[in-house]
Amino acid sequence: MKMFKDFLANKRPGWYVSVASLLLGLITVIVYTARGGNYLSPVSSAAVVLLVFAVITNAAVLVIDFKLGAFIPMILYACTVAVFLNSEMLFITNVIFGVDGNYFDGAFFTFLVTGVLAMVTSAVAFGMGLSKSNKLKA
Amino acid sequence: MKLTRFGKPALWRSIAAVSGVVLALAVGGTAVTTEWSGYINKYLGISNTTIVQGDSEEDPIHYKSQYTNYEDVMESAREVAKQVQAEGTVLMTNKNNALPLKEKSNVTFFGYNQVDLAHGGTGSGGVTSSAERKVDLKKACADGDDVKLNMNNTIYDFYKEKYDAKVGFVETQGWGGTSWNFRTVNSVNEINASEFTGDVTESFDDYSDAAIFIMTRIGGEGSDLSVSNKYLALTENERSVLQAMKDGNFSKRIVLVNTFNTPELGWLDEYNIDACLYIGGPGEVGMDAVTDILVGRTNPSGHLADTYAYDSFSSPAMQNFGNFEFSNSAEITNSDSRKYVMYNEGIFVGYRYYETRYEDTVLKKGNAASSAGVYASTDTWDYSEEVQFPFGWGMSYSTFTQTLDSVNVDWENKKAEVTVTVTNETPSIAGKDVVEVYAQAPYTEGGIEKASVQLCGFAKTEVLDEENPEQTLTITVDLSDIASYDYENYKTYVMEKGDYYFAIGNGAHEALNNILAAKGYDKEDGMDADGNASKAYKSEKLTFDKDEYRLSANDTSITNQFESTDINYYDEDAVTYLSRSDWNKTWPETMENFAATDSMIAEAASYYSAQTDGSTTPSAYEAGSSDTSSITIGAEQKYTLAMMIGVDYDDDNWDLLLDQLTVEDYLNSTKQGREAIKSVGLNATTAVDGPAAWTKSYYITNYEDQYDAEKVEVTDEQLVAYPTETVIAGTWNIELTEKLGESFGEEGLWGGGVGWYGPAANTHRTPYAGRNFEYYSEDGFIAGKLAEAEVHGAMSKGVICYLKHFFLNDQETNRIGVCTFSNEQAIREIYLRAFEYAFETTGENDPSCNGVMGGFNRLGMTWTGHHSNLWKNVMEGEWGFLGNVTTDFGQKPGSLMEPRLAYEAGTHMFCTSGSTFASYLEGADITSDLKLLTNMREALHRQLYNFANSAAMNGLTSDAKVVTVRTWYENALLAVTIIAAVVLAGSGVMAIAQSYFGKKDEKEAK
Repeated sequence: MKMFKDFLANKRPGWYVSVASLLLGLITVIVYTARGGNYLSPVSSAAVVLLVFAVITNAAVLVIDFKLGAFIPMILYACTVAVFLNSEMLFITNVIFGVDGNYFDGAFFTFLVTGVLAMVTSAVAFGMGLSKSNKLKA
Repeated sequence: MKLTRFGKPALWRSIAAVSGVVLALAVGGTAVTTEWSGYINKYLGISNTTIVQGDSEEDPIHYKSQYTNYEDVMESAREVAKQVQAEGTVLMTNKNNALPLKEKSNVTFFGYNQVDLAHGGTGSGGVTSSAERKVDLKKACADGDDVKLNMNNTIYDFYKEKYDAKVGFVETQGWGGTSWNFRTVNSVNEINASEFTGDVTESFDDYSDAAIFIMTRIGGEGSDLSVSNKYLALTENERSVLQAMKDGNFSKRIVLVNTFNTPELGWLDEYNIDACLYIGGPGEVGMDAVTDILVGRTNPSGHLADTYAYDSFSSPAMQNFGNFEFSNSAEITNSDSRKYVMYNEGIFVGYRYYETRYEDTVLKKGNAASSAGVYASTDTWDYSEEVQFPFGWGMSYSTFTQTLDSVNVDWENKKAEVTVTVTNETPSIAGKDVVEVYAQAPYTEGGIEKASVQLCGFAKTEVLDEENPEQTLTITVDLSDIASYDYENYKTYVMEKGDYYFAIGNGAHEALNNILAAKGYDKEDGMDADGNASKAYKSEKLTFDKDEYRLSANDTSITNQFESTDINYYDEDAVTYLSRSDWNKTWPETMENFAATDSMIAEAASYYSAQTDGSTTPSAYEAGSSDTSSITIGAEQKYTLAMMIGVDYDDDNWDLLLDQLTVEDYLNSTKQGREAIKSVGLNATTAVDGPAAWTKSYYITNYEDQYDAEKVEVTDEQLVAYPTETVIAGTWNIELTEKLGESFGEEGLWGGGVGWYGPAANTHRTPYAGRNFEYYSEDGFIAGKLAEAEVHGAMSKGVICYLKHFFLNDQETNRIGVCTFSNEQAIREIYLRAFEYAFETTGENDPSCNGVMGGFNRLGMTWTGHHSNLWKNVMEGEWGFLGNVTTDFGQKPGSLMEPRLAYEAGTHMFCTSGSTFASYLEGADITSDLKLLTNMREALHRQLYNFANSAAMNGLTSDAKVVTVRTWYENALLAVTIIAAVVLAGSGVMAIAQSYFGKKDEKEAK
């Protein structure tokens, strides 16, 4: 318990923001895979791989802060969002063109928003720093 | 100086974080915009190519507009649209000459939908127009000083208040939350009359010259009309409104049918309705024509292109319509081949069913008067109780008489000339009339199925007035159109010997009665009216022709091409098609829980390389030789596409041009021609949805600049929304429809584009198909003739018309991949015919349509895009078609659409695919597959041939070059990428350095 308290005591607010990005990343991966894509834009394996690595590295930097290591999940989340845009473009075009009577479903909206939020929060966390530095001793 | 003194670590990390995210998004954005540049540019009204002219003095404008500014184009298009509505509106009934009304009559409109009429359908074929331009009901009644009708604003405001409060709207989850729809295909939004306020009911007395009820139904892409709610029947709320109308002190009661499907109208008498007008989907300006008709400024001349049954479920096709899944669908590997629909009614679609069964009840043959198929009849099947308004029916404010002057049948030359004189007996009321010619072929019990009447010719008169009250028309009937397709024995078209009848009449039913009269029958035999034998002509054919009709117009032998589209091909005797031999026994069974046979399952599976769930199965595609050295790629660019304008498709010089194509060109060719092909000097073009407009497109200020990125200027004025195809069909006017096509062509030049996904010519197989608004009719002949006219008109201005959705795509339910089964007689005589006249070329004056869009559906178990018999044997072989073949909206490659198999079958491009198919084919390495490369080269040959002979060449001379220019967003993204990368690198270095030196300082401090 003490170790955990000490662990938390050494964390900056950015660490908590990073926890939020991890949760958002998890929601994204779950919703995205559970939704399962559609006949226009199936699940992108590239997006899933990027997202899983983002979540893993996000979790890793929460436990072991490699200082600048928090940059990695941020970039992976950002890449995931870019892949989302590309892989969902056929579906997006289909909806915009009013074809098939398709519309942006709740799950689509959810994974896109949580993906973007995961990216943003991980960037904020990285900017804030996750752990306190050792004080310089006189 | 130490780096640690510049800023703080947190600052550099923050900058690195922001720049990193921006960089990733900029790179991703660049990828997306590169792949989808065609659409983005279209929406932004910009281009990423420009033309650098050479020294040539050639005229670079190959397709010229007859207008000098877009305002004139728009005005002309709106006039054409109004004319189509004026001639396509059908006066269905008009008791005691209730119509026309006097100008400035005080009228009360009933029906909630009056505040937001259905001007068109929904989906990709849906239309929009600005509020300023759209003629709604109020504007149609009174536009400034031009007052046609004084409408009751109290009830209008009552409805408008409800509308603004979204009363009865249906909630749909959409982007960013909930959207509200005024109406859907599942339920009718109507306010019960019990909710009328005192003010509303009191207002009736002041506006009692006429009560006009507007019955509105919507239809659209993606879903059919609700069968379970019987959407086309009257609802209780509508009944309450009609009752209020009936109870009110109105001098006249009128109904406007604002639908694209055929609703049930059996209640007209129940509510004392005096007159009924079919107005369809009037587009942005059509309501102006409707009110012109109401007040007599225009004399209606439209005729129905569909049968109106008392019960919308009564056609045999309704027995097999909607959602059917194979009972063993779990054994079928790909989910979109698990659904089916079977056309067990055979050729008995629309009036072919009702009229044929009627004749058999009179002739007392085939158990026609049995109880099978009884929906509205009180006991046994009775035509007059089943059909309210027959196909072809239409009324006028004038009284016309038609005289059948002569019929000359030339069996040897396969022509018949029918001469008819039309007289306006009330010439003070000027108007047009329609001459309809029907034929009857002899039927032998148990032989080839024959409809008792089939439309084989029609024409519209000029305006007949006091000056010119009479017109004689000669209609040439191509006897090939009445030949029967024998799919079982001779496997081709045959003309049997026996008595053939040709008759005229106001609709199919009257023509049939005239034939029956010529045969000696009358009301005592069970006819519902006496026919006029003088309007029918008998011609006896003495020989049976089994070979004379075998050859197509280009001398290709016609034989079965769709045997595997017949379910009996897989499972012998699975289906008994509806037959005149016994209406009772052969009435279609609803084919629920049909088990796919092993061969069907194997065939369905063989077409996929991947499934929608990401797993894979072996593809049927077999790669060719890996040695592709016989195909030249990237040869020196000596020739341009402009040099090939007017060059025959088979000319050897095409090879020289095709040799210049690069691998990138091959891959980009999948993208519907949106990408420029610089190696041959083809500019980037667009393809736009139809068929009621160039949807979501805007006028440009000068059509000659359309493809010049540096000059083109886009206005904020949207292209015109025309009436629905059901209204076009109602005109029965080929010349007007061609003029409409020309209008589309002009608009293409002035901002629409080159490729137009229209018109559409599927069949109104049932009243409930969601997309009937995009299609002309239940009859393949009139649909085919009008499609041909519209296509010819548009092509004359350089449009590439992707006539769609080819074919058997006659319902929306499960349309993506649905396995559709029909026998080849129905395919040939009904469903193909609606497209055939446009695709078939009979000579220089009858060009073949230059494009086609294949349907999402399967023909049997084979997706249309994979069906080589369709594209190569029928389209190219029989009809001489040399147009572009595109798919419907591109699906995931390898799922429904396997591009390698599609190319092999004769498909040339993939609609709206962005780079999806290009990436797929890049992965397949087209340079190591001779067969694939050969097929793709042929696809490019076809595309380039059609682009060379289209408005895509406007702006290009033989020595002009197409040059890529960077768009503003490409520059912006590049700038953002560079800046973000530099900032990221700098901040990263600083963050790392501070971390390193910070630790060093720390150690030193220790």
